[in-house]
Amino acid sequence: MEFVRDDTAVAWVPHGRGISPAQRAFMDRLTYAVPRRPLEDTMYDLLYIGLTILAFGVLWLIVKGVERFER
Amino acid sequence: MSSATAGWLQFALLFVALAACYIPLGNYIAKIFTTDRDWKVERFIYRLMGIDSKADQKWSTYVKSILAFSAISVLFLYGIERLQHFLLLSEGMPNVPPDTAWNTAASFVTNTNWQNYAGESTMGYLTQMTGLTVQQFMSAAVGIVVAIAMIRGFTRHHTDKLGNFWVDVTRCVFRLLIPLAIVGGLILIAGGSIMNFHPYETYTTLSGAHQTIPGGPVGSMEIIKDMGNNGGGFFNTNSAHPFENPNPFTNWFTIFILLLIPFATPRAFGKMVKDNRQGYALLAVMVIIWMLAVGGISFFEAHYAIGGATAAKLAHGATEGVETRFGAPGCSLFAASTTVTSTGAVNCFHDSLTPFGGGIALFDIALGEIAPGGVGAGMYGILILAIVTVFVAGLMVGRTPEYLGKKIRPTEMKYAALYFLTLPVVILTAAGLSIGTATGQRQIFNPGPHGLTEVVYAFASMANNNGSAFAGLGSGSMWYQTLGGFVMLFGRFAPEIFALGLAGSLARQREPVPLGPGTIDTRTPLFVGMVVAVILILVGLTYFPALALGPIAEGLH
Repeated sequence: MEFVRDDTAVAWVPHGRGISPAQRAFMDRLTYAVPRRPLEDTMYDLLYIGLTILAFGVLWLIVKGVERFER
Repeated sequence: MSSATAGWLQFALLFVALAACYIPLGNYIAKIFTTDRDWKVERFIYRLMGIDSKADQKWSTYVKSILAFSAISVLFLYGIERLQHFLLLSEGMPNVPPDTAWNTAASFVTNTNWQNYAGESTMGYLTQMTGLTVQQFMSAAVGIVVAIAMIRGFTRHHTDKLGNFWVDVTRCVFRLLIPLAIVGGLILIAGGSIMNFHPYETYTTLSGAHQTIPGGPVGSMEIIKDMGNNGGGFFNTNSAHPFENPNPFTNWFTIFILLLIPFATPRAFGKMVKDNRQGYALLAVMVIIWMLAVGGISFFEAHYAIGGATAAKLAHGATEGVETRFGAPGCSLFAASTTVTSTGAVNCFHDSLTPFGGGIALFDIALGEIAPGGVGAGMYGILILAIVTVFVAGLMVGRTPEYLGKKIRPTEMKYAALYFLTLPVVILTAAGLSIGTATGQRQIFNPGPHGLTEVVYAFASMANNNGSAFAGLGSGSMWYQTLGGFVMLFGRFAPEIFALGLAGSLARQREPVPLGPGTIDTRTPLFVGMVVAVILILVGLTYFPALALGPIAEGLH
């Protein structure tokens, strides 16, 4: 069996049509750990607090939906 | 003594020790949740929080209490991580970055303990103790009390009340988890796990290099990490680190403690439904699947050399990524036990398991925490699969399916179907998004089938609250951190909503259905075999495409 590990390069190359610089920048933000400024960190804090509320809000709605289904 | 013999001895000793604890611990768990008497410390907490300990909740109130408690826990833990630099005992660590902090908060509150960070270089002592370790207690307690509420669905009639979440969780922490953690923690510390508040020390090695030796309150975290099926270690290398898991005895004890509560819970179930043979039947299902997992992984790790790999032949097994103190058998037993429970602690590198060995670990996780599963989660998971089995068997003989005197009607089956379908939907959607988008693909560092296995394993592990990883995936990126956080939250709480909804539906049924000639006896070896078959077929069919294109394709290559 051949050795499959390859830490030197990304193995799954994105295919498809070319992507715009804006998309590239967004993907870089999603992909790599980029040093952030304090204000940027605050924005991310708000984002993740909002995502927490969103996730539990959806779960809460599932409970309400099931309650309605029961009735 | 050969390493294989040592491995089998470890397994035999484990089997005997778990069997010895089954009845006393199971009876004790049942007593905790059936007695009317509150301890003084519990009464104090109820008064402090304004809880009426005698007021039971209906299923939806019970589950809303869980959601509210968990949402606040996520935000509280996120806050500790983001402010740790300004808190005591930070050991100079900077604040945790927002995406890592959120992923970690979701991870520890959901009992997953997926770690996108190295503990010794990211988290200060206070964060480890008051943030992560506290959640390791609380998330384990939440899992256990959901199982207890589910069991009450079978024992109660003509009511919509399943118990009081706040009372159950308080009792679980004070009467079960803390006492066991104190005893187990002292055993681990006596065995060599470190427990101190020493600052990190730097030494010069013989070759002139500098090496930093960390300290920390490891023993107290290590015990609940394993006993609560959490899995999140103090150090990056988890149970392969000598400060967490110093020797073969602590390694054996760690495996024992992570299986202890899940394997004792069927006894508590049998005790609560007043038919211990029902507990034995479910225990048999769990033991069969656990033994298949241990045997399978051990076989492939030990016989890797069959194909002619000389190095593996000389080393008596596949030893890449294996901690030499424990060897391939110690790794295999640990890997199987940590993936059939929702623990996720590791003492070897799962990414280095042989393709079929790793495939079994992935399949274990995909089973959905049922053999014996996570603390509590295993119990409610296998109860739902027992209901599915009764339904299938009822269809085969043309009778209305019944289980423990409860009719399994379309309503119950809808809950069971929703429960079972939630995890595959969450896992395969997240994996599909990661594989099908350029952003997700960029973090896959291994080609072909192995890369696919890593992605599927990651989301299966997160959704099933396991937390172990095939580490060749760049899951520290914002994409995987954020998506992973959602996967963990929905993978944990959505099935709990459906499990408790099902329990509420069962509890509302009026009188127990009397046993008749057409009733399937759910205490027999036949039923045990049927449950095992239903589990393996359902999970196998659900994940077969992913398994075929991942570990099976790699193994046959």
